Amino acid sequence: MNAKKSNPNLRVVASTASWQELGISGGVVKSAGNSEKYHTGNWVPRALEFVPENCINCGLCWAVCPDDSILLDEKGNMIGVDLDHCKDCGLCVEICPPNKNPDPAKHALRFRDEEKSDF
Amino acid sequence: MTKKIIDHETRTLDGNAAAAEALRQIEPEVFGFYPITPTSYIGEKFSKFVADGDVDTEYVCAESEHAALSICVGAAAAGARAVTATASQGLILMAEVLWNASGTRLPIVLVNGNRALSAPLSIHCGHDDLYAVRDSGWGQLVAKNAQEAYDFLVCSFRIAEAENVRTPLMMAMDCFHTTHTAMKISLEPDDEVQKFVGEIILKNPLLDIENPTAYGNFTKPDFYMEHKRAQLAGLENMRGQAEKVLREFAKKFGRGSGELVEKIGAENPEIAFVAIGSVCATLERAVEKLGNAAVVRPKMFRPFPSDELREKLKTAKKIIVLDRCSPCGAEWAPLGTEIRNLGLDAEIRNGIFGLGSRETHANDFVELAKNFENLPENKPHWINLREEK
Repeated sequence: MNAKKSNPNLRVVASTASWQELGISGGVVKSAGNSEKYHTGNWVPRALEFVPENCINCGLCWAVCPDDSILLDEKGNMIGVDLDHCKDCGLCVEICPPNKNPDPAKHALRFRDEEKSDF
Repeated sequence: MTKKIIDHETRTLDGNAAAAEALRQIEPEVFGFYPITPTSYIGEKFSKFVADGDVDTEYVCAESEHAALSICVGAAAAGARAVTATASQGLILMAEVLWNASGTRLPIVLVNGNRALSAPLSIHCGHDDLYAVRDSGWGQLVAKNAQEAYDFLVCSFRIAEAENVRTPLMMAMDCFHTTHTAMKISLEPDDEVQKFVGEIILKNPLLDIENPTAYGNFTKPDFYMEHKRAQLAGLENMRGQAEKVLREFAKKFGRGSGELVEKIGAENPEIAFVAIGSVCATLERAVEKLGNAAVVRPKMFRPFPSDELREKLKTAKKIIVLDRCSPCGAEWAPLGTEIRNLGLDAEIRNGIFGLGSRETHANDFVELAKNFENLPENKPHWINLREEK
């Protein structure tokens, strides 16, 4: 399992360059592997929330996520959700075993009520 | 192979041949081409230069105009000086690639023979093609005659390639009226032209494999708008760069001027004609007949030389703007709309003339000027149109 973390600095760099700084670049890119900087997570309004104390670390959410947005540490333990790329499909919420508990306070993954804001 | 060096000479050439001679002297690295009336002869003549060893240009016969310009885009991104020639249907088939070239800031030069668009099919003159792609982000120089087509083409690469411009440029001349009309052309010496044009300044060339670059990238909502604004700055800078290069050309070769707007006739005219292209020669004769009149001719349609036009038109009492294109549903045709937007004090009227090379003579314009009071205010007047009264 690959460790994957969202770099909070990328967002700051991406959205602060003025048009004057772009100069005559014409949109050329001088560095490879930058598709991760595309924060497709802002296409959707809801934000997923991870409650670590309720997580049983079963890995089912990681297995079903179509956007590779479940963040794991080096040992494969779930540590959070990559909101820059999460598309709000809800598959992880549906499959999560702790979410079967009738008490919502015991759920490990849920949608927050407030809307997210990116740029 | 030894190259033939041609010293300064006067030759009788049409616009196409003059353009081909300019391109022989400049010797771009790549020429992507697909033939179309009226500019096929540029490619034909240039391919002979290639076959005879007069130029080392990579001459690529494409399968369509879309491909021809795409070849130029690839070549320019690689770091080459690239050129193509087309007209009419060819230019609008290139449309998609025009935007790619300007957005990617590739200083390609395109020679266009302004030709009416189908349907019905016409191979004759019209400015429909030029106006159709006016918002493509390209510069548009419009030559009055074959000599000016040669002169503009010699200047084009330096205008497009300047570091603060880096924007593609089309050098347009009127179909048949200029492309196929012979005149005595002054060709400057090969070495002088080559010295004037100079070497291309490379910016992020793809062939610089030590510094890899990706072209034609996807842009997200957080960057697209800034890119479009930065692109506009390059196009706006083209005005100043064109003035500079045209002025330098005039100084070195003794023809033309650095002015982006030419005014011929009375200083404070009762009536001024505004038009682009070959019709301006006809208008000069009309102005001679009228006396207190002038022709004001923007040499560029994009970027539009607004300030220079305000300056040259401020003393005119009446203005007739002539368009070789239907207004296509707008109140006025494109050049008329631009002139009306300048906020001049003069009374302005819009005339539609010469679609598909409908004959228009100096006397037609003299009549038009005399009939100014009867011309409609909020719609164009169609000149030499058969209609029921």
